Amino acid sequence: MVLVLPFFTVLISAWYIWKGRCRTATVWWLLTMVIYIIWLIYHSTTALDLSL
Amino acid sequence: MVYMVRRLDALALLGLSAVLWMAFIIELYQHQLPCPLCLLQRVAFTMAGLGLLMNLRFGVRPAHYGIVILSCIAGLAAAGRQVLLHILPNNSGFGEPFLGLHLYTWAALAFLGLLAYCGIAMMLGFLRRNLSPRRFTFPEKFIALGFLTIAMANLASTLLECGLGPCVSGSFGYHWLWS
Repeated sequence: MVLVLPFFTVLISAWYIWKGRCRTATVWWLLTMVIYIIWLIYHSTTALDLSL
Repeated sequence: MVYMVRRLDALALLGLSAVLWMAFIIELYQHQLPCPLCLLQRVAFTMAGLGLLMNLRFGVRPAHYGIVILSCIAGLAAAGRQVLLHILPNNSGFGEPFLGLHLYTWAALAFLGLLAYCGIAMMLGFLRRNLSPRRFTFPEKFIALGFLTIAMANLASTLLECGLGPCVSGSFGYHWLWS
């Protein structure tokens, strides 16, 4: 899975809000949240070299 | 009141967009490319923005604030993780500080602010709902009594421990009982 995926799904959700489809947008938000949580768990449990 | 809340939602969305734009401009002009946790925080800000956008597009509803709140909690988890990564002494943190704090610290504060905003907006936005009392069912009454009992027990134990003072004695115990 790629890190750009939640950026893509959140944009789809925003698009559906723009088009006036609340339920579909909510489903895409939910999917984004699931992907987000998976990535958050991954980056919270693996070593990160962030100190520059 | 709902119209006022919608305007506040629009302002909140404007502020949230400003946060994202500022991070993007810092990325481009100061060449501070975002780390994976920073990217997740940007996703969380965008997810929170969806809830506010829904309020503007479909009307103010608790479900939309739920989206903002859950997104903020998710963002706070990522920002909190990053704050904790750099909390030890002599750690310079990630990236250059902005107004004295690093961007992830600002993000954590922004998520907390958005959560507080949701609480206030929900209180204001749903003031005129029907609040006439209804009867508890038996399980509800049992749960409510348990809640009220522990609230009273905490009041009593704190009173016994601290009396009416600020509770700074250093030796903790039920002073009103045993002193």
